[in-house]
Amino acid sequence: MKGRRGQPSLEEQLRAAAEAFPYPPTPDIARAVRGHVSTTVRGRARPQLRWTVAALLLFLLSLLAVPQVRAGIGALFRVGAIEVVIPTPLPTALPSQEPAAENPSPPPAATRHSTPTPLFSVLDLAGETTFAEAGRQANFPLRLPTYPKDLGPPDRVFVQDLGGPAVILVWMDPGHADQARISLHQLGNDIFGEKTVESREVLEETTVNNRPALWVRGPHFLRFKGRPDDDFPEPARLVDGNVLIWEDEDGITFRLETTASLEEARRIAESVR
Amino acid sequence: MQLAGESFLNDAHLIDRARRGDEAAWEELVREHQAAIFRLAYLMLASASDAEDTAQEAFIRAVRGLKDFDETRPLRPWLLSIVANLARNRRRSIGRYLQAITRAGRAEPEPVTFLGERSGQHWEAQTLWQAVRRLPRIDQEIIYLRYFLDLSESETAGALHVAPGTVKSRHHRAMSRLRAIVDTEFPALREEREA
Repeated sequence: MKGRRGQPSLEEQLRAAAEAFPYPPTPDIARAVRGHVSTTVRGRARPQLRWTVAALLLFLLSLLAVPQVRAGIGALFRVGAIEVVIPTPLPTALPSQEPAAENPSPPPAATRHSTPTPLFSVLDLAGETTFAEAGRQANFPLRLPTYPKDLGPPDRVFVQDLGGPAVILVWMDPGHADQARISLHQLGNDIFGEKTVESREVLEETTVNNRPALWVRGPHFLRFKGRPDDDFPEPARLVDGNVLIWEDEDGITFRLETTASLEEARRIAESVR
Repeated sequence: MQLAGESFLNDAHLIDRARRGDEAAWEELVREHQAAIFRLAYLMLASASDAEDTAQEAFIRAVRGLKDFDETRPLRPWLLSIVANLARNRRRSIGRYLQAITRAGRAEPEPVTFLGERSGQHWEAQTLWQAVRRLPRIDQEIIYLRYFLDLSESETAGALHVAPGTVKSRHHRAMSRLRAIVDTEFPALREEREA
């Protein structure tokens, strides 16, 4: 396929690139996995790959060295870019106790058990912009919920670079000028998010458009990191509301934060276009 | 040179032997497909050592799942689907923690050592790869399978567990996005094309 004026098309350029690509030499994998047929057929497979051992060893060492990794022991679920963990022990106080120092300074007046999402938990984010600009910065098409009917466009829009663009749309509560009614995170697939919950009791597996989803009730911590060498650069953010997490068929992770019920949250989620 | 049909029949014969515990048959299958499996892992992970580990794990998973494999289908897309899945998980899960510990400070792909002189083609291939890596993961995978591994539409559908029509639409979308990225962020590539 030729482009304009007989120039090679991008397709041709890709094919040429594929042929010329300087791959590292292919290692002798056949030799490395030798012996696995017989052990598997006889039903006594014992994986002894060096990476398994090395990964386990490094992982265990990391548990001793890095508090953020320590929280990974209790990993329960992963939906798209977000993993839910139960820390052992809890890295900091959960909202039923005093706010932890690593939280982004919640105002004293913030009622941790209030029903609507407190302003500080969503709106203290950096990177406020317009919806149009967020669309330009994201490397995926932005989606909007079409339910509830009166929702309209988002009142606040944030874009954060977490190794990939993360777009956060916020709709304010009409009755509470300082409180969010709904927030919707849209996360590209280069982002890694971790939710810390107090117990499995707050989690419920569900679906959005017949795809696996997770419903997280009540207070929990949320933090993100992007590139592999990042070490959770953002402090954990206290989330008071309920959260529905799902991944669409394009690999975009959605995180809907609301004080609504699961049924209502699913209805909102399934209206996202 | 082996024709596609011959390769398919040969694979089916080797699979049958491997299912019965024939180590040599499995080793022959691994040798036939290891380059493609390793290369897809490398493209997705940008690390030769991670790609090697992931490719090894993929073949171990494959031999365990061989009894359930439908031998009327080609083997390579199935193997590629396994390695792609492992590479995705590795990118997202523990691998990230390990990388943070073992490779602090390195976000870019491992440098590739060229045996000869750096040619213009190598530069163009590497730069185009960097452009592809800016795409969403799903777009990257379509391009790797269709162009870098030269899979047909139906083979790509098999590797991604989607309908051929979905491959077509995703391919179209990925190319549009890549074109936009090249135009805005990698003008040298566009100039190379227009030279």
